[in-house]
Amino acid sequence: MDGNESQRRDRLEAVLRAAHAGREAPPVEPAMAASVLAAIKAEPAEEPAATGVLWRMAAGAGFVAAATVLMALFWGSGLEEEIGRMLFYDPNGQVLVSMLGV
Amino acid sequence: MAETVVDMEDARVLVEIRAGDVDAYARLMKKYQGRVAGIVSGHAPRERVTELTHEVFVRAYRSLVGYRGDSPFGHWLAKVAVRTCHDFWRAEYRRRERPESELSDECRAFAEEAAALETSEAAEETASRREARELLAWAMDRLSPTDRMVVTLTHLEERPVAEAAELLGISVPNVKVRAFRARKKLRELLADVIGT
Repeated sequence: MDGNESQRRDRLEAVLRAAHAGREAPPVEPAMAASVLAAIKAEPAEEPAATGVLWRMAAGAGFVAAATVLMALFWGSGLEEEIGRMLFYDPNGQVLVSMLGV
Repeated sequence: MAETVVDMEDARVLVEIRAGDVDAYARLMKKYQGRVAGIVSGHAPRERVTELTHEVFVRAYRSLVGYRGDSPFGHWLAKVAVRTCHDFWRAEYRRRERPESELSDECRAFAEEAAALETSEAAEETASRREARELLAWAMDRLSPTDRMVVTLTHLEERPVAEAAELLGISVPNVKVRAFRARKKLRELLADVIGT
């Protein structure tokens, strides 16, 4: 690229920068404040931050409880043996026993 | 700096709003509406400025809890305005598969004419033409949403990198890298148009 080409780009860029600087913002809408207030009032009031934290804590506790129940059901059902059999065809359970280090 | 950290009148209005007087927010809107519309018009198409200015004020109201008064309210509002425009472009780009349109023959002829200008007075006059805005919009549409915001702030508006980073909520090195790459791409696009 020679100096002349670079100058041509510079000039075009300068024109675009001037076009941006000379842009006209639309006139101020007198009714905007009223419409913003109407939009704000139409929304349900946000719950305070403390309530949000309580909801998250309750959801976390519920998740832990559900996971505990599922674990209890899983280990009592013999499903773990089925999974072990699927993973290793090991009728005497020797591989599983050695893996567990028992 | 002409603006003190927190304008006393703004602070009074904010106290009223926090006490539950939603209507007091109208006073802040009347005061800052022109400024916010000016910022938005620098980033968004003219026909969307009113809608986005509205969106900025609604978002700002929702985020008032996060305004701690460590900078003037106008600066904080400017950040909300710039980030709203950034989100607007991200959504626009997601909506249209290829944000590209063909450049008209008039625009190509205009670009040739502008590239050949000899004086800055002629450049000023040329810049006011419709084709200049069309060419600028065409070139910006070829940048990613974040790049177009960065180029507008740092290159077209000549704001410092640190200010652009603060307005957009991204790091200074990120803005520097994006500004460099995006300006390079912009110049390549213009070079293609004028056939250099």
